[in-house]
Amino acid sequence: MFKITNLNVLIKNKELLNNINLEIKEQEVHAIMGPNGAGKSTLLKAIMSYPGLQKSIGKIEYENQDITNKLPNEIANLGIYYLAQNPMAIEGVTTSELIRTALQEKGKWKDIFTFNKECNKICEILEIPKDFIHREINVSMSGGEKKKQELLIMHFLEPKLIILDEIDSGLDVDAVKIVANFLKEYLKEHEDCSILLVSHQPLLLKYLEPTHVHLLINKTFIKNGDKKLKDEILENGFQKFNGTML
Amino acid sequence: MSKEEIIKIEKENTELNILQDTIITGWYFPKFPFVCNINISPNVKLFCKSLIEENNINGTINIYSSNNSELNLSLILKLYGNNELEIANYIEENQNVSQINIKVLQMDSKKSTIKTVGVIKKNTKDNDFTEKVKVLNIKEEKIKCMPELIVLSNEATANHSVTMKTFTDEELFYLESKGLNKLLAKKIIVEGFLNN
Ligand SMILES: Nc1ncnc2c1ncn2[C@@H]1O[C@H](COP(=O)(O)OP(=O)(O)OP(=O)(O)O)[C@@H](O)[C@H]1O
Ligand SMILES: [Mg+2]
Repeated sequence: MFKITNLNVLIKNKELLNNINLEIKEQEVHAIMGPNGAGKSTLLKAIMSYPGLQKSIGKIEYENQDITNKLPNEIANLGIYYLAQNPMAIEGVTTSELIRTALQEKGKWKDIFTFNKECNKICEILEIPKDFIHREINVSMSGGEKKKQELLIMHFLEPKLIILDEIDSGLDVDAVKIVANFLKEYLKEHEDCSILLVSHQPLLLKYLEPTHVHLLINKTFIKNGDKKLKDEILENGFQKFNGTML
Repeated sequence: MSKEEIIKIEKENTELNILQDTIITGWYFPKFPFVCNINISPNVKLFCKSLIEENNINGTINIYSSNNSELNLSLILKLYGNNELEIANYIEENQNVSQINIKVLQMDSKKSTIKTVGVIKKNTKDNDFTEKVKVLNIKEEKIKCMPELIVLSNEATANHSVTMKTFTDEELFYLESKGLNKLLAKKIIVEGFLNN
């Protein structure tokens, strides 16, 4: 359903990613691991056509469409949801307003009764107050609350590919479990869905059980594997792999 | 009962005396440079909550507070073209309360200058002055904001704040990544600014 071929990414002529290849199929959970500054966030942003990132070579395909040069909103409306490492705050705009506007853009409509009912249910699962939907987007929210709020939005947009940049940062132990269960449940309920995530934390990776693990060091994937690669990295750190590459 | 009034500035120099509690429901600005002096009489309340959508205005509005008066001025300025506007409040005697909230938006690629002035005169007491100015710049700095607060009395409370906000690529990207097109994303940020 999703494929990256030979992707190079530049910012102001500086190369941030080189020769990235990745293929994701339905129901798979892919985890990207790698040291700080390796280019993990850059890759996720590049998929979403983040302003300023230039895809100089390569191709990104999603459901048999070339999305390499599509606009962020076009990519989103095709069913890709991106949750940033630090979600933006938008003053004066409530989460509810954003969701309703976004649904309208997608040509979906939900009556207020269904909307509220679903919202209450999700807030309960995520263990956030029911009035969260009426708060300003990511304004005066704690790190963990922001991430949960983003998941609340995700529920309504019903994406097929979920891209998560360190969703576990800022989450306490209990919250990691709540979030992981929420994602697993979503995956179960949506047969054609898959997840691409970046994480440094063993706990989230333990709960989410990635089917594929990619090690990103120095602008490119130097190793691809499964759960075992994750355990190897968590046990030995990145140094060992850095060595094998040189 | 408060009187309702639309302020029409039709001359280069306009003098207005507010003799009883008044609600300003609208403004009319001329296309030439102007000065408008508004005098609030003692024991009188002046209240104004207006959305001003204007182009190319060039003028000064001076509001004079005397004794035991109350000024509550909330303006949203949606500006087109090049504007130069000064809004001043001079507190001349005692026990006045002034609350001024101004939001400014430049709607096109032209530039505007907004000067806000608060003066509390010498030998006055028990005056309370609060002013908040919020500016939303769309991408580049189109609005120059010049706040000035002069407190010459030791027995006054005076507060003022100016927030300049530019809406950034990151904010737009955030909304776009939720499926909103750029135009809609901009619209929602502007509405957020106005509602906040
Ligand atoms: N706008 C930019 N201009 C120049 N360099 C940038 C820019 N954005 C990111 N970089 C650089 O690109 C590299 C990769 O950054 P990125 O944020 O993708 O790292 P990361 O792997 O997500 O790291 P972390 O684990 O710390 O989140 C870094 O060296 C960073 O300094
Ligand atoms: Mg990162």
